[in-house]
Amino acid sequence: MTIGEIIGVWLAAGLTLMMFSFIYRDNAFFKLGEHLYLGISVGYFVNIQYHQVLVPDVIRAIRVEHDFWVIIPSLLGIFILLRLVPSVAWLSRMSFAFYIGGFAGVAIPNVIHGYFLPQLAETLRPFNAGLGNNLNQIVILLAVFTVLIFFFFSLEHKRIVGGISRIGLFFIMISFGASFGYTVMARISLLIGRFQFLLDDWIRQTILRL
Amino acid sequence: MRSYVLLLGLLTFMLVVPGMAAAALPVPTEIEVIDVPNDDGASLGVLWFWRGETSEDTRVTIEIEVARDIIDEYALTVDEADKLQREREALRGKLESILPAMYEALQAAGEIQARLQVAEANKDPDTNQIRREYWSRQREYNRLHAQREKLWEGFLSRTTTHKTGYLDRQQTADYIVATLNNSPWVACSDVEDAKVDMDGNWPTKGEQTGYFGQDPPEADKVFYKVSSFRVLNPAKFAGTFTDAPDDIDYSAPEKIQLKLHPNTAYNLRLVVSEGDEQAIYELGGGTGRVNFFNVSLVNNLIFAVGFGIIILVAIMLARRNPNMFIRRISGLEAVDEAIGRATEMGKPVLYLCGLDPLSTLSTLAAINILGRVARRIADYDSDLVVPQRDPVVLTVAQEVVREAYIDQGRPDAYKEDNIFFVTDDQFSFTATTCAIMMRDKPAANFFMGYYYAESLLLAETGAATGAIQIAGTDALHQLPFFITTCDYTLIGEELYAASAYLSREPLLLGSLKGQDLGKALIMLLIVVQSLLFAINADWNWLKMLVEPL
Amino acid sequence: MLFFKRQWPIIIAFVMGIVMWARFYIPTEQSQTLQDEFMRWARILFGFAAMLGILSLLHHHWNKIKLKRPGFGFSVVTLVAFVIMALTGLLPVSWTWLGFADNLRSSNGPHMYLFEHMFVPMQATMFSVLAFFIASAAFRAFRARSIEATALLIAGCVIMIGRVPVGDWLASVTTVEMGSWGARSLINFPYVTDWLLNIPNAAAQRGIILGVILSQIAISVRIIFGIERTYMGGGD
Repeated sequence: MTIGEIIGVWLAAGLTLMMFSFIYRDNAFFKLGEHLYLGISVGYFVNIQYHQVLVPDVIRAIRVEHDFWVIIPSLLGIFILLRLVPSVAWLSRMSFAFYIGGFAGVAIPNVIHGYFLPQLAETLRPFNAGLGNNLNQIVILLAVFTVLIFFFFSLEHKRIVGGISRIGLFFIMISFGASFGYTVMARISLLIGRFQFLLDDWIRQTILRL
Repeated sequence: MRSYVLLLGLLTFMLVVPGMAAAALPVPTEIEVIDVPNDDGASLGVLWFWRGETSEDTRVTIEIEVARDIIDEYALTVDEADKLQREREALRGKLESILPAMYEALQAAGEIQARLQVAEANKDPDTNQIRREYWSRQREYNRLHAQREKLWEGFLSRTTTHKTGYLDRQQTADYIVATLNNSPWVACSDVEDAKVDMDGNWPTKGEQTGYFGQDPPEADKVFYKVSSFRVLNPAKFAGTFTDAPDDIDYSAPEKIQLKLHPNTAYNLRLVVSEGDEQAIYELGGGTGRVNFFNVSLVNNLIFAVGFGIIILVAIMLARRNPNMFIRRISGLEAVDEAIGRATEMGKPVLYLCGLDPLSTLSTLAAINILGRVARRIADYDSDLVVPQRDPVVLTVAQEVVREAYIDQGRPDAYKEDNIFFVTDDQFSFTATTCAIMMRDKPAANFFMGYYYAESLLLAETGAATGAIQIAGTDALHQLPFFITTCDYTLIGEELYAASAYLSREPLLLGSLKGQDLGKALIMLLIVVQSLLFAINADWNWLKMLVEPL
Repeated sequence: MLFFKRQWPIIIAFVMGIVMWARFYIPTEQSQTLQDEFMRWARILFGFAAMLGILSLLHHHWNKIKLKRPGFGFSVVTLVAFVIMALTGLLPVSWTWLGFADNLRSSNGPHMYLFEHMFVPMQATMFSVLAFFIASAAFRAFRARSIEATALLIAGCVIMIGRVPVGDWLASVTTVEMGSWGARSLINFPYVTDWLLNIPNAAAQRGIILGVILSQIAISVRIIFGIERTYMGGGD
């Protein structure tokens, strides 16, 4: 290992412990780590925006590729910056309208194509795949139906509707429990990964030099 | 019906030529070259029936003829060619003075580095001397390397224009010429080496019924979509094609892929092979036409326009009859309680709009709720703290909150510095927000919008500080954590309903009614189709409507 | 003037919304280009907004330092870290005298060195802290008081056991021969896990998603037709 690498591992190990100290409680080390992390991440963000957006999409596009269309979004971007000048702050509305309106238009067909149709098609299955599968299909229909009832806003959750939506909520809770249990193991393995770094890269390789 | 005819034909064939059917190659019959509907014209379809048995060794390739007129599409004008030539010569001239010195420096640095490693291992007294030597050579190399990069960049910027760069065009034309000299027929890359799968089924891309969005193709007709072909990269073979110095990878694969162009005729042929045996079928020309409407998305259009109309009509009706019932949402009933408590305790209220940009609609829903919450906070006179991850959301949030304070007649109480950008990084944002919770101890935390893994960190930290927490998200995987850790959680659609609920604005309530109507329609669809299925498993009429084509 | 301030944004949102919506059904190359260009324009817009965001952050911390609020020293740390990280990536300066390679943002440069040895470990650590928090969240769930919360707890426990080796072990030791049914295991957590994930879980999620989609269509339609204007702020 070079000196640079050794310093790097010590740095990383120190910062790892600093951030871990957050589990115990808020303390000066965590404060230091958190503020350092903040500064570094914003510095990195600046670089990403400069090198991956501003230079290729604006500066290079205009000066080298002579793609003058990008002047329009740049202008809209400048409108956002003009929020700092109260008398023309309203110009930023144009930018928001462009951005939000466009994405609203993108969203409608996309959610139907990506979620709505596939989900609905999955729900509708014929009852011809054996008793077990047919029972499962009935459970699926029941769950989808009751969950949809749960979300009905025009109906008060009373009497029959109340009962049905209670079943819907019950399904929702089973589903949440399932994703909860499913996530636990994934999170534990992340922690193991971090300990591996501390024990192997730091203690074994740089301190014990094994 | 057709399959019976085919079977009959096959039987006759086997009877007439006994023993031959097993050994001979399968024969494609009724081959059609068609324009693929619903595309941009940059693909062709090839369809056929098999006569004879296909086996696991059967391979099929569709080949395209690389003709002269394809080259012409990429050819340069005289001026462009001249300029390219001049630029190349200029570059070559400049590189000649740099490259040898650069490689020399690189080699020297490498040699000294080897010596340095030995010296370091032996703890030689003149290690430092060697290290200095190494760095001086390395710097020399870096300097020349940077010069060369700059020259190359300049060359590219002068010879490449946006999208239809003529350097690119020249290269492509050269690629095609090289291929043409080798053989005029090339395999279409997207069907190259197509083989039967384990069950002996052909990978018929047309298997999805209604692939065309028109009539479903016949079940046993093989369908291949061809949209590109590969040509040789002469640089790889001649060695000195580009002036790019050879040690940088300017992506020089052996072959490059070219897309078919719309409204251009291409000659195709089909090659069937099994081991050494091979049969070629000339298919003639085919032309892809540009289509202006994707028929296979027609069901998408029906639902999109249908739901849109339902919602707009419901909103219009709401204008006439503004008093509408809407069921209790307990999470939202608690908003006033939470803000009230914050005021009593003299503590701020923390509000997050989620981690996604404004292009995610739940972020917009969160912004809408923020406007409502800010109005109440302005009334109660407590502080509202809104850390942000996305700068666009930040500016919109500032605008919305400022507006809310003005509406309530408290413009003086609005503090722009309380709605601030933190960072773009997910976990740095989380660390900072958790730190705010631990230090400022807000009495109420709102987590609205879209969240990822950090949801648990935020909610647990907030719970530890004893704040009232109200969450709302449509991020399914994060909902369980909010449910277990927060006092109230808005699930999925409730997040979107919240601004209507809090504002009681007739137009928003009307939209909510429209959504209910939409849900009723979906339920009707599910019930009717399930009943149909219960009667007969083949009656899938409504299912056809929702099947993605 | 008022027209520009109030009506223009609505017209822009309407035109953009309808164009981007209709584009989806048109399969031509130009239509795809339109989509790509819109994404690029949105990226550029974001880039400019980012400047405002960073100004906001710097202002926030600068204020803290200026007013000497408690913990202002840490704000100095943030600002210094920001300046170093930003400049190492932006300034065209040679860093070879520090032992780095010359290329600014290459893997051997100081910028990427800081990224790898400070940014990445801190990020990974914050992520891994989740493991502790999930434990405390699970503990919170144990105090379940309603039937629904109990359902969540039970489903969660079953799946946790079903996904660790203990679940497989339990299934194998409880396997018994059941005549014509063949060998069946009596306590089969992996099987139940699969069933829970694929049947009730998937179905309930589907119900939620269908509702969410309707809401998303509704909010989009409201934006396009100028009914939803919160994002524009108010006033004139």
